[in-house]
Amino acid sequence: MAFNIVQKFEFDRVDYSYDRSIDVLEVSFGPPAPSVALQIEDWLAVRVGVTPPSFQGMTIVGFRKIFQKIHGYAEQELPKRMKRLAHTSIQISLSYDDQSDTLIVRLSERLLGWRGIVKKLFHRVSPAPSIFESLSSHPEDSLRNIYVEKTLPSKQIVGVKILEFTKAGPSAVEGIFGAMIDSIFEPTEQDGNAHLIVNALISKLDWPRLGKLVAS
Amino acid sequence: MPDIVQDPTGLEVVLLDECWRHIVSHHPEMEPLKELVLETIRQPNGIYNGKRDPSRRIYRKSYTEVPNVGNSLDVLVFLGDDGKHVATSYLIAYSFRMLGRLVWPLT
Repeated sequence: MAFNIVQKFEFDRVDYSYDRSIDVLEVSFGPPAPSVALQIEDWLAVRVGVTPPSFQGMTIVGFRKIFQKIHGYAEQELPKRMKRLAHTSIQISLSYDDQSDTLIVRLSERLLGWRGIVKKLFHRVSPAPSIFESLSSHPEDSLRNIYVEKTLPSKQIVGVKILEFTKAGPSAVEGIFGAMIDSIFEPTEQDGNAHLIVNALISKLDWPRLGKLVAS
Repeated sequence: MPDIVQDPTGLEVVLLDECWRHIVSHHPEMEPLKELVLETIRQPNGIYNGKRDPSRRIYRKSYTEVPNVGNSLDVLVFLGDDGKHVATSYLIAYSFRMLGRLVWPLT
């Protein structure tokens, strides 16, 4: 069975609340609704709505304490990053091919409102050539089945490919999260691509993309 | 009126009304579950020191069913920086990585 699902997410209803006294950041997409969380690590949870299934937001416990280690102005830049996020629309396409047992996830970001119109008018959009690079070259690594797709020549990350998905899918998703988090806090020379994904996410505060992948 | 409960290590943990309002405003499913939060502190399955922030104390308790929410869920309770007051609490369906170092029970 092969399938291709394209889903569009708009963040125009993004809201956030940072309580300095308890150092907890809550990011919501739409009004609060009953949800359960997927705990990515001790400090990060993505909230998924129960009925109907939807991505509700994320909770970061110890936001200032944790992010001060990697970005001293994380708290001050929060309003700016949230504002930028509110003008972003993300389209995710999930393609699975049962012949090769491969899942390809592609992300494309679009601006909403007048920013989007300006971009459409003045920037021609054409499919860019891309390459796939392995997330890990180690044969025993759980990340060996994961490849990141990069455009040429800019080498922007636009997607992820997971081989042997039926066997390695869950551990691959777990591995991606782990590699990305480790590349923030425990960077090594081997995790260049994971670090690039994180940089792309942090620069645009695109953490919700992770949640979308999990929720979809 | 704050709730004060003792965890298995003898630590007294405080859940302030203000904190509870904060929890319920962001996690509305928790509104009828205050007793589960207090029970998680009193009788957790595990107490952890956070992986990225070892000074963060985290309580975890598994429930086979949480009425009106779902099955096989865990309650997590996070203490604040002072190590005494609850900072937040919510339900999790799955944890990708270890929360941190298990400090109770020590086997």
